Amino acid sequence: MLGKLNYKYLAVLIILLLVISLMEMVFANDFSNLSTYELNQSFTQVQPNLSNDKLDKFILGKSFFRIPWVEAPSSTTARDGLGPLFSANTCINCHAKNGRGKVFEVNNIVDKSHVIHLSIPSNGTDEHQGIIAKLGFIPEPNYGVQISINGVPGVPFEAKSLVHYSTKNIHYTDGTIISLQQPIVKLEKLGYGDLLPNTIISARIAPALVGLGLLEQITDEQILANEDINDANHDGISGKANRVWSEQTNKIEIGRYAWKASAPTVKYQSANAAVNDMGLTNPIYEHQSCTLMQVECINSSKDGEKHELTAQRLNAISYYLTHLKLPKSIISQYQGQRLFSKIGCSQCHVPSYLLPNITIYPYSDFLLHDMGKDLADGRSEFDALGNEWRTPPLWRLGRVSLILKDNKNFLHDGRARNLEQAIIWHGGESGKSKTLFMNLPVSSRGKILQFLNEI
Amino acid sequence: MTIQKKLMISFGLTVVMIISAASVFLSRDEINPLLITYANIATVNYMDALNDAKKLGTKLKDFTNNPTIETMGNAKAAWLNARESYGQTEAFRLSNGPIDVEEGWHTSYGAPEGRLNAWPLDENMIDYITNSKGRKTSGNIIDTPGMFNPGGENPLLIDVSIITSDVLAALNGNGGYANVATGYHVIEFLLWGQDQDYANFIKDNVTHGALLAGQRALTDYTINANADRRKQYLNAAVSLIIADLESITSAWADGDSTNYKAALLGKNSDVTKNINAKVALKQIFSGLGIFIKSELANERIAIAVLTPSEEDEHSCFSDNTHRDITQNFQGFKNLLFGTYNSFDYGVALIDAMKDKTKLMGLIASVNTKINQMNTLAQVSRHFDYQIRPNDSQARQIKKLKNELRAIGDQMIYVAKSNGIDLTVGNIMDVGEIKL
Repeated sequence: MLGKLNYKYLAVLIILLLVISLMEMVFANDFSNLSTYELNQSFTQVQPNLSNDKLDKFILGKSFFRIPWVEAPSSTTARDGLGPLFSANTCINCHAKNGRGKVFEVNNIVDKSHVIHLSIPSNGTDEHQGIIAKLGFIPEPNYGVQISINGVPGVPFEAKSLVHYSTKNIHYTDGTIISLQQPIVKLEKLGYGDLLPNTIISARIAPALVGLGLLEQITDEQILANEDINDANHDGISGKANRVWSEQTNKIEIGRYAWKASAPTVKYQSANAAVNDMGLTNPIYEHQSCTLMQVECINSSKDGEKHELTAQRLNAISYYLTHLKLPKSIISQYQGQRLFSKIGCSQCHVPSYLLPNITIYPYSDFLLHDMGKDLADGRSEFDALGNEWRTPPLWRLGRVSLILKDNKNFLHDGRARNLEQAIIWHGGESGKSKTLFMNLPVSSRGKILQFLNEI
Repeated sequence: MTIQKKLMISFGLTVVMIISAASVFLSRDEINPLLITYANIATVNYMDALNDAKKLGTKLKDFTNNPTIETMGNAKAAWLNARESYGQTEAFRLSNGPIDVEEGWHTSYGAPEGRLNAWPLDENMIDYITNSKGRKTSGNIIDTPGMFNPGGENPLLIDVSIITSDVLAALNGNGGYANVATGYHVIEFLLWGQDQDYANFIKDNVTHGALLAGQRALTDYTINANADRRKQYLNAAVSLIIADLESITSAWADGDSTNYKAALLGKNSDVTKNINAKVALKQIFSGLGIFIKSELANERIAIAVLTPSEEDEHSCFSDNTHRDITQNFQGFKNLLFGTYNSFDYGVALIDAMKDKTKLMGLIASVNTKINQMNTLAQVSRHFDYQIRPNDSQARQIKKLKNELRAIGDQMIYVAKSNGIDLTVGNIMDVGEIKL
């Protein structure tokens, strides 16, 4: 009996290993004509044929993206203003090679690109409603919107985060078992007392900076065309654009960037990261994120004197990010794509958009969807609810993996260690497609995964 | 499956054997003359840089033994002189060579570029500065007699009771790569001090004038409480430069069949280390393209002019940036034309190019602009004044930068005429700094 069972497992294991090794061979072939250098530079190259003036703006932005900021005051006049509270001293720290972040830096030390957002539930008062209208959520009163893991001398950091995993096994109908890791995030060494008991802690890893210039060219109308808030067509998939307040335009805009689509533009998101990740005030976020009880932070900030990241430099950073070259996709077969559509993935991961001069294939509708209770973080951001996430674009996932090497982290908090696990985590509106995926024969599943690595 | 795997492995081994056999065969027959020229220039240029660094070491010793205006002046002159030869060696960077390669066997030379030439530096970490509020800062390596926290991200506490080369090496990059504790620019800062002529960039009442650089007082080395620690720092920093350059000259030394030069020329006694000639040339062309376009034109000139920022000048304490630009370009020309110090080293990269008109035109134009920049730096205003937005020279420097970019693009054609395919992407970007 036992012998038989083992034999069965062995057979499945061998088939799986064969599939994996075949897939590896396929990938090796597809990437083999690219040098290591080119692969390493995947997301960092400039669009070709920029004029000298445009190239100037690009490299200026790049310099502010990459060269470390130092604490003020200093004689490094172009780059002072780091902190008082901060998590990293450059943008590139969290977007290595402009790719995505990771959970662990080394061993079990949490990487700075794994960021902890904080919020508390609204109490329904006018004050809270007012904050939500502008910010999208209520910050934790003692710590603010995000945990800073560093402070300049004299300003205690806010906390360090710990990530542990509990394991749960998922069974395919064909007997394959997939082991998922469910994160348990804790904060330790809290520098400013306890968090409010009902604080919502949401972990997010930095997204890859891929094709942002092209995504910005998609019109709001194109995004709204895919909305189906009440599932009027009864296909089980809704889809809602996030409507967010913009300090840039002083009105409500359609959000399309960040994990809950809370940022309307690349510039807005860059400004947000500048103030929350590095403590750099700027034209969109004019004040340091010190809370009322963070006296050292308040005393050492220079609010109102000047923008640490000036308008010109913020513009240059967003220019840099929107003028990076999108590397080529390497699709070698379309069976995976057909299967991807057939099981319904493309309902949310909408393949293409027609721009004025080009069709692009980001595989996203940029809308919010209920992703089920397993992925829910309980945090609202404007119209995004606690169980809703923006469909992330899937283009160039293979290169994202290459940049990550051994630290492959997918989904908002990096809990999935490969694309298959990321699919299995799908729930809510995407549960049906997930089930269809799991019922496919192993070779078809492999084709979909291969396709995802090639788009 | 086991059989399949075995077959795959044996097939793989066969391929490796064929390739290595072929490379042995090639290496016996002929060495690519372009590589010989390139490697021989590296040998002498790094040797000059090492000797000049040693002279700097001697002058720093003289100065720290007996700090006078004269010995300080001699030390400064020796620093400026050392930059002349080192500046030319920078053309060997970004070519997968021992100076900065991040992976492969030649990392055994320590890839010390970041330790030798890191900039910009947060000088506030090294010694006092006068900050934008006009106050002298404290809490730096010089004024901390015990354990020092370099700040930044996950910094390690370092015992700086005695400042040695090892202590500086441990501090460099500790807490993030803004924390520069070693190299030429550190010595520059300790000799000259801040150059505070940036009244144009921020509100600042301190200005020394268009032809003066940093004005560190001699008393920093005589009656000042931390005088001895500054002396320790200078001597430790130059020892590390010398040690690093010794390592690099050994990589390029003649008569060693186990070093990088032997591998580049395909005659390393360990044949697995030999670099295929085409691969070597591609790395060289690509490195030169990146250096001239991305590093020199963009990082070193464009950002300084565009920001505009004193800190983004390469040698901001001594106001020697005009010489950095000159010598960096000279290093590029050395390799392109196969010459060094007016001596012809043989077949050159440009020789095979049929139509040189455009490239030579650009080089002539850059030469003119660089000469003009040098003259102005001597007679009327240093680079930091020349890049002020309302200075007539700022436009010339912008043109210089654009022409250097165009020269970088020309490397595609130079490479092509030597049978090497290069794309724009190959010369576009300075590699990401390793995190």
